[in-house]
Amino acid sequence: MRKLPIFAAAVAAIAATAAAYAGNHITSPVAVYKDSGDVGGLANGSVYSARYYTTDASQYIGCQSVAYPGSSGYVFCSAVDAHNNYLSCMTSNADDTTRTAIASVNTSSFILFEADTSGRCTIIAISNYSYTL
Amino acid sequence: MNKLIAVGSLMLGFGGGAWWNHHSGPTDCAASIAHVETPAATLREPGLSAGRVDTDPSVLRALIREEVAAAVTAKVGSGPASPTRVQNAVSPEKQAQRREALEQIDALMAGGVWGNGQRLSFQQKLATLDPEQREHALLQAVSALNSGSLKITTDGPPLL
Repeated sequence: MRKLPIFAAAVAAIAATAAAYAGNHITSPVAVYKDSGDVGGLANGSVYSARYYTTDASQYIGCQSVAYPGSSGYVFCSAVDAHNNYLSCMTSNADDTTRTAIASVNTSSFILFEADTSGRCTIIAISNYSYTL
Repeated sequence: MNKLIAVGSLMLGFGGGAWWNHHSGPTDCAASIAHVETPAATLREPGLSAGRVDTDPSVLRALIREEVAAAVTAKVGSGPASPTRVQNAVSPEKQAQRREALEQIDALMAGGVWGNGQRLSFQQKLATLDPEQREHALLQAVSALNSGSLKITTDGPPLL
């Protein structure tokens, strides 16, 4: 009789766990689209997928905003896929929209960026949706 | 006297513009979108005859003030000894420091390997450069990293 509350609690915990993973889910590992030796290309992927839904130890994706107070600043994005393909881009004239987007990156973020043939960012897109988790 | 001529010219210009705007009618081109925030100098009321245009004097005065202020600012800003240019003067020591930093960055790029040490050194050199040099150095690094001419061995992203 004493075991009944423990059993009930265990069932409730399992039910709660199952509920936490409901809803739409899309796994988006990091992908780098670039020919070998090229400077330009495109990369995308989800922060959460790169960290938790992959088995390799190489892939990552992210962006950073660096400031040199009183002088200038730049935004830099980089990614590595499961095959160790690397792509990055930078821009030194990021507008407020870009900086706000980069500041919004979190574990649910899907990031896409494109580098032109000089390495400048031509697109930086940040999407924050539940389905990436 | 010069001011009178300038203001008179502006009045004629805006009057002509208002007349042309009235006669040409609205268009969907990009130019009309670009001027969407410019206050309307002409008021059209329904019921008025097609050839009549009422000009709002206060809007016209505001436009003239803006034009004169812009012209004065442009003239002052083009002077040879503007304060901004004086502030941008760089000491010979700083120039030498930047030159040395650029040489060291070139050496980092030629090294073929980009590890934690190179990343740290690069960041330290970047801080001494002016914005234009910094952008050039960053693009140089991004190009070398993307093309694979620098082998990345850093822990995490190569440009922190």
